Amino acid sequence: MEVQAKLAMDTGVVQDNTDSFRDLFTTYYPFVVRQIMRIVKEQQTAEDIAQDVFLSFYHTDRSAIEHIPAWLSRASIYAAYNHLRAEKRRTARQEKEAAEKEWVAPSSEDAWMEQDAIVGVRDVLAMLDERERTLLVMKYSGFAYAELARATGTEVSSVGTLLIRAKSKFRKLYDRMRGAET
Amino acid sequence: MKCADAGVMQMFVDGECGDEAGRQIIAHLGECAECRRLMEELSALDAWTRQTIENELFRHADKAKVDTDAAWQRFSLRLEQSAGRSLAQNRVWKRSWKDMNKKTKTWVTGASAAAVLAVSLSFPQVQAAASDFLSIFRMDKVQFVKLTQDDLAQTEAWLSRGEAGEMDLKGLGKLWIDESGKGEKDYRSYNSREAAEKAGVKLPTLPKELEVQGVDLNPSFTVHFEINVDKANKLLSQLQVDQKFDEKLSGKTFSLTVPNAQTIWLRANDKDLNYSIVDAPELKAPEGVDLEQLRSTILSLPFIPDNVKKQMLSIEDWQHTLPMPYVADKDSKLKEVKVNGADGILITNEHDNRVIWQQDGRIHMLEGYNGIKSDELLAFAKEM
Repeated sequence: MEVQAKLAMDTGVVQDNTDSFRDLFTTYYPFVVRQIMRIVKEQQTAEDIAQDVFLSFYHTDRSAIEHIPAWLSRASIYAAYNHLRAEKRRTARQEKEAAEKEWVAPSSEDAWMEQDAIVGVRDVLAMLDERERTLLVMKYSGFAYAELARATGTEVSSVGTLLIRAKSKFRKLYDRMRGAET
Repeated sequence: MKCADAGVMQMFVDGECGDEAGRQIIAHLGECAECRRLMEELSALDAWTRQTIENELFRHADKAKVDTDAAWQRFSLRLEQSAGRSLAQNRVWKRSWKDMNKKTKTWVTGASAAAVLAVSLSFPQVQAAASDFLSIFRMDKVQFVKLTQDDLAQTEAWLSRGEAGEMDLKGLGKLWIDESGKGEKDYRSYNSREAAEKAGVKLPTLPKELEVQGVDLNPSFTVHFEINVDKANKLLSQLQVDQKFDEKLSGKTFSLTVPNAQTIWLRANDKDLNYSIVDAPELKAPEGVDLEQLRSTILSLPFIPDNVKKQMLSIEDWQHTLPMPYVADKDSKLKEVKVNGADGILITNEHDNRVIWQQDGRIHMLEGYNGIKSDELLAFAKEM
């Protein structure tokens, strides 16, 4: 994966100078889709979100973007989690409506099962704050500290510390979830 | 050397701390058990996180096959549909005359495309007495016809793509544009009111608060429409529609000429506006055609969306009415308004507001960006 992201970055330097948005789109679209699919599993949904990401990319003053892949990556992660949040709210609402309609509260066992099913790395990531999440996903996508700092609005010198904090929190939450499962 | 802090150690793990600092850390690790332990912890945490994230999040995503070409098609269609909105968001982008003019053109051609269909739809009895070779109407009224995104998508995508060219209407006929209308042939653009007036462009009186930022002139162009009577009639009988097209229509052309349009870029209190004026479009129909029959036949065509048909049918003063399409989508709100006694509509959405009205035989459109309030916009419109 790292190789892939690096490749995208190298071509990025060349593409920055070209005027054509189509070139940018063609170069980065697969990258954006995959970035989103890391968070939203379903490809079709990820492609829908990717379209939105490119639309806002199109509307952005691109001359002000220093590093296009980093910008796109951050925007993708952000959009993907937004989608997940909206989805969650929707499911919660539907479940609530269904429960009210049938006048039957789910048994505690059912509730347990349901909770069980949704526990995954994605959910653990969702519990982190936006900055921590962006740092982790972008870090393991192969971005350098300079880009991580820019994407999260921090100094390069604090990225190391922030990464440790994000990883520790991630691991703690993950273990707690897995612990609760068994 | 004293112990480095954990953040610096992490930088070292990630190869981000530079050669000199790296050598120091390595040297220090040799003598400090505490730091060796920390380094091991950090590496283990890093390895675990990487593995977990790669296995559970990345692997499946990296295998995905992505069809970039199809995605681009979809994206460019979407861009064209939101052309009006996209321009609202980026001043730099908006200022490029090439794009402005495409936008204005999209608007006008969008209008004329529907009008061309409406050629057919909205005029029943022609002033057959017209001794001209062609029957000529001036469309000096505007009727708003609501189209959905889908209705327009196809036509609009085509229209904004090509300057001149043809579109095949599913073998039933064709639609084409030429720019060889009378008058100015070139796009012209001026950076100030003075420059425009010096070049002999007549500008309307504008409210004092509005500062002219630039003026663009778009040349007139003509949209033509021709029907293949043979094929169309075959289709109609296949569809068991009783209506038939008149043989006389074969090879004859309906044309809609959109005269020169003027777009003025304005600024007031840090807000951008754009004001377009276009003369009443002119419509030409072949002589001797039973238009009442044509209208009902065309309305029976399957590819004209129902909602459009109904609205076309409800236009009463067909001879002088230009059906003005506006796209109905969930983001835009629409209100009927009066501007100096003339009917108009106010379209508002997240990014911009616009008022379109008709006055003195011309169509006016005032569009406001970056958060201009709709009543503010209306107030300006009333002073135009």
